[in-house]
Amino acid sequence: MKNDTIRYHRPGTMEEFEALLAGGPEKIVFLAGGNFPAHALEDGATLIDLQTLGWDRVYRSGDDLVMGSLATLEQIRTAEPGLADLKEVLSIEAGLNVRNSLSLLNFLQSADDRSPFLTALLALAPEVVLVPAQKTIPLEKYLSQTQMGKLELISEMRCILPEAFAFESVARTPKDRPLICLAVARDRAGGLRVTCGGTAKAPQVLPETNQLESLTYLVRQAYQESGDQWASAEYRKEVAVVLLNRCLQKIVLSSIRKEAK
Amino acid sequence: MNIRLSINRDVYEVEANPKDRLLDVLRQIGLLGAKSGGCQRGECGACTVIMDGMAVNSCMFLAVQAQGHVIETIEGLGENPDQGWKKTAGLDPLQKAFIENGSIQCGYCEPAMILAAKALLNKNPNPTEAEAREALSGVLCRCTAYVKPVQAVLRAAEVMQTGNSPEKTIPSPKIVKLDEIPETETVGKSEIKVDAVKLAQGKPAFTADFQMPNTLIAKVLRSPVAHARIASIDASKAQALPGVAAVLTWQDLPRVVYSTAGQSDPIPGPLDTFSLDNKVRFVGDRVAFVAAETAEIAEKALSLIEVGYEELPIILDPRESMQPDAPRIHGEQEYVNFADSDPSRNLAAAIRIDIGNVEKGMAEADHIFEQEYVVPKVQHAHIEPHVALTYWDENDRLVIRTSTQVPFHVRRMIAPLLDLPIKRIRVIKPRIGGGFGNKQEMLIEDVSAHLTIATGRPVLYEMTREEEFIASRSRHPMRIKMRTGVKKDGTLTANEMIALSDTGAYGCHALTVTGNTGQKSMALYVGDGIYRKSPNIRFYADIVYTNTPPSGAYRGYGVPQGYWPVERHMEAIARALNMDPLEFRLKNALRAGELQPFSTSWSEGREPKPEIVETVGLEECVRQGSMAIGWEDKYANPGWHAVPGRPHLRRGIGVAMVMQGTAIPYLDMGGASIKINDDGSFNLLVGATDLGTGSDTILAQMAAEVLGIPTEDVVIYSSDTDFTPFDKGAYASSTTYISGTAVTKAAQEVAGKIRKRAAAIFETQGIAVNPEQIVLKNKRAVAPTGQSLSMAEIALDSLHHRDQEQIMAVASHVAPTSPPPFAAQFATVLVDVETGQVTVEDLVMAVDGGVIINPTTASGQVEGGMAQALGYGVCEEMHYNSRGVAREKDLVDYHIFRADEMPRVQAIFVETYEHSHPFGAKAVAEIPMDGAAPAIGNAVLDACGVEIYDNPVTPEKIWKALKNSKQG
Repeated sequence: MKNDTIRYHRPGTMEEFEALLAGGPEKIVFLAGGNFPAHALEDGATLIDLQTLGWDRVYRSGDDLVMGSLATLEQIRTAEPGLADLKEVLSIEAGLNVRNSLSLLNFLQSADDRSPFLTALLALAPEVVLVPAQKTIPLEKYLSQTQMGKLELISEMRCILPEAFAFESVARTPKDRPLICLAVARDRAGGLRVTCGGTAKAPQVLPETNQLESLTYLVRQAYQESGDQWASAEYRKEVAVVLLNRCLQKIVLSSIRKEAK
Repeated sequence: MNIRLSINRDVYEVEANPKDRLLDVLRQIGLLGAKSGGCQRGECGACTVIMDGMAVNSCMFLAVQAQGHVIETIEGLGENPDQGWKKTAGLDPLQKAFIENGSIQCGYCEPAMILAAKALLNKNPNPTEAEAREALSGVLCRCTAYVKPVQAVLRAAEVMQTGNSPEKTIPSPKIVKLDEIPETETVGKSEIKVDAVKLAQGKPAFTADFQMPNTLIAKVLRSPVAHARIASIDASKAQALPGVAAVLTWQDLPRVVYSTAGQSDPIPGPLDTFSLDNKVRFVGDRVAFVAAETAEIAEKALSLIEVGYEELPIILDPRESMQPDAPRIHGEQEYVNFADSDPSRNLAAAIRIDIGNVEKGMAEADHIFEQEYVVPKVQHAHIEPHVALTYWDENDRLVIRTSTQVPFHVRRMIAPLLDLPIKRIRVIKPRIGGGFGNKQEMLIEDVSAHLTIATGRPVLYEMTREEEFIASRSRHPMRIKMRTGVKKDGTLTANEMIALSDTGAYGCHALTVTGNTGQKSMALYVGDGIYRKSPNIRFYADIVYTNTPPSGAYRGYGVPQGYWPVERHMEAIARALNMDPLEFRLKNALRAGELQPFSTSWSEGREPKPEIVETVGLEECVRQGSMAIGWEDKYANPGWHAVPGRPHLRRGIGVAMVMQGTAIPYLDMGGASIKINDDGSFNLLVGATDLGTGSDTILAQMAAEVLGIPTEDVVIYSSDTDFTPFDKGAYASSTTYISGTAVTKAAQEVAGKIRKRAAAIFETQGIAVNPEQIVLKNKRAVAPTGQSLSMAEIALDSLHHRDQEQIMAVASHVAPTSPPPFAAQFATVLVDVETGQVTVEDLVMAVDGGVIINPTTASGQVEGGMAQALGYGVCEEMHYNSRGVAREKDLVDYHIFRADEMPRVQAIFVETYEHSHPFGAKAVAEIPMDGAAPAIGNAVLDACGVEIYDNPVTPEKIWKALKNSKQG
């Protein structure tokens, strides 16, 4: 018994895409690559498949890393050789099959507080471009908005490649989802941006500071109420400080190496 | 809508719903090599295809999304080179490599691994091992530990690079012969698995691959609450939904009490289950069955069933189950007790075993060590979910095609539930995509059978991954108290284990699993000196009901639960006495010629009878294992324990010694029949069930050995209750031993008939030969004079030429003993003392499994078992919140090891010759589950000096223990 109450479109250009949106279909579902939960589709939905809109590129633009929202996690992993820790982060995030099919957009819709890649991404202070308005907002803001306009869609994400980047996590096995993870990026001006994953909520971006004592305090604060069924708050608070120090050591070492070159 | 797909260089025009997944469409058009693991997030990878050169999960794309892309499935790779007159290009080098090196175990995920590897080699023809592991990281395998698949990828790369097939370079497991072992032609050789070629091609060998027209899809409504009476249930809206063929509630079915445990009659446990009941006892318990035209309609129908739950107090902690004011989980009048079960106290079973005089032994001790240990509830995580297809055949007999380890038990057990006589039921077991004990259970067959009876149509029921977690079975979690008396010189004087075992909401396997916990683990250490002849051992257990999903059979069958406390305890005692942990254990361990101490007190089957343990290769296992892991260089070597430049890391090494059983004496029976064909080949029919272990292969090898033919001349079939002889099924490490002996007996009888026939033919040629002196070898019957007849000549003579008869035989076997295999398990770990993170670096297991019938398949069993046990040691556990809702519902939260994170894994065999088996074999399948967790726990202790009593050893537990030790 076939049920064709679901409509499918694959716009080839932005004009076609915008025309589809302008048609004002009731239930729009955007298909952004693989790992889409088919069981969640409702009858009467209009599927708009984004795969031919050219949103799947990952490239360097000056100091920026640009990631199309339909780029897969594996494309991102293999595109930027400079951030060794980011490769490991993505390897922890999922096995190769999922990385080959999961787009950045679908990833953002399913990631949670224990996601190592989301934690790492947030440390890079990325901005997302929303279409059709071509509006640019920080990813952090995008994620915090619980009521996005139903037609506001990320077409790409940009971040300035940091001077140095470090990621540390603790898990039950090398590729298990972390119980706690922490990422630190140092920008070219020397500013440190720290994000905390495994907080029992969304990954948290800490206020920027370069003072170790302040950072330590802020990290502890981030995990103050992080106790959940995976780890206690006490554990996370204490171990987060360890991970912070390790990240900072990596950052310092990275800077020393760069200077030595 | 019409979809156009480019698959394997062909174009397919398919009529599909836009929401159909690519996986579903592939299977609709007959490309059945992509399998479903029932997952929702693509984590298992069994459905892998190559899309535009990359391995992706076909369950995670809609078919419409795949339009315009190039898709490759396993069917496009290669095919069997031997197809009669038709010449083919043969198999792909990857398929060949997977087949030849024994990578194929259950075969459910192997097509996916082959495709993932293909995508790698297309881009990178010369990968490193790390790159091969990375390529396989998206496909979860529960059988292999990825050892052989990774080797196969590298071997295929070599073949493809050089253009020719090199000599076999795949390392065989190390085998050390401890006893004199007779020379054999086929037994003891690494024969290729008899089903490997079809499985490497992704052929439709599994239950869900069998497509019947007009099939309905079944779904089960499951309870959202942990304990409640069903005050009302209204299925009228669901029944009225177009496309729904039947909705069944407890009001529609006969009320027949049973146990789901797949065991011989009488089932040694309480009868406390109904197909559908007016009460639910755990979150995930059955409420209603639906059969509909599609899965989507069936799901929709479930949502339309209105249920009124009258909630009852719940018990989640087994320590509360027997409290006087505890709510009663089983109050039904139909409940049938077994032995000491007492539902008024939530007691499913109780065990009280005293051997010798424990209190006297304790009084004779210089030290008494006491500690409580905890082991978790864990899941089998076989990649093929439970799946059953039922239909009426043309004779109005009910056919049940099911992924079961116990087809004959299912036929016997399901008959009363359906109000059908056994003779009107036929159970067919196709290939099984892993079971590990979870399919030693009649868990789903009644669902589809009831719906087939209700609708008259074929019904397919396949569990989702979430259902596997919330509604199938699991390993019994236990709290175990150890109390051990020991003299200053390390002699054990008494050993006591008191277990509280949680059977969950139903008592399937409650008594026997927990019985094994003590019977195997507490039998290993009897003490030394005078205590050897009269050990003092106590094993008491209460097995209680809680409102959690039922526990059941799981590889090891209670024994891994026992070895966590025993081996952690032995380590603590050895260290407290400042003794070498290896010497201390061997000093007290059971030796050849001694009585299995529990054999006179307890038996899983009938009355206990004394059993002398004839073969014990434990000491040599310790020697071999310790050499392989470098024990001498590492243990007590401070330099090795430190990691230069990384003071927060500490290395540790640990050991555990273990024993299992081999089959259930005096109870479980295996049968086999063999007949000769015109060309001198043989059909071997067995009721034994190969669930990926390679048992079909080793049974064929044993028959081939007796008949003097190559294994390829044995066409084995398992199993079908209409055609194959009875066999208890695949459990209790019994197939090689019980079914293998049955096969050997049948083959010996057939061999006798062949010799007689050959002698008669020789006589017509004027050659007088005593049949007893005829030797069967190289497919011929050879007279002492050197003249010989081919098997084909003998077959044609017997079937066509004169005094015609079908040369055949049927035989069966019940064992009078259960010879234990032994093993020494070693582990090394790296512990981060600042975070508690533990990384297992090496696992080595040396196993005395008697004579190894097939070293490749046996090593696959040991490697895969160690990987499962590794998860048991560090990450696998099932948690429930205060309302009994599961934390783990998929293979993301319930993490099983991926290919790219495995430690080094090595299997070694120490061969003893077990005279109670025709070829000297014991078992190897379950013992790998027993030692890894305690060896890891002991290694963590060695690394950083802290004791973790609750398995698994997770970062926070280690961190807390370290913190406490600093404060202390």
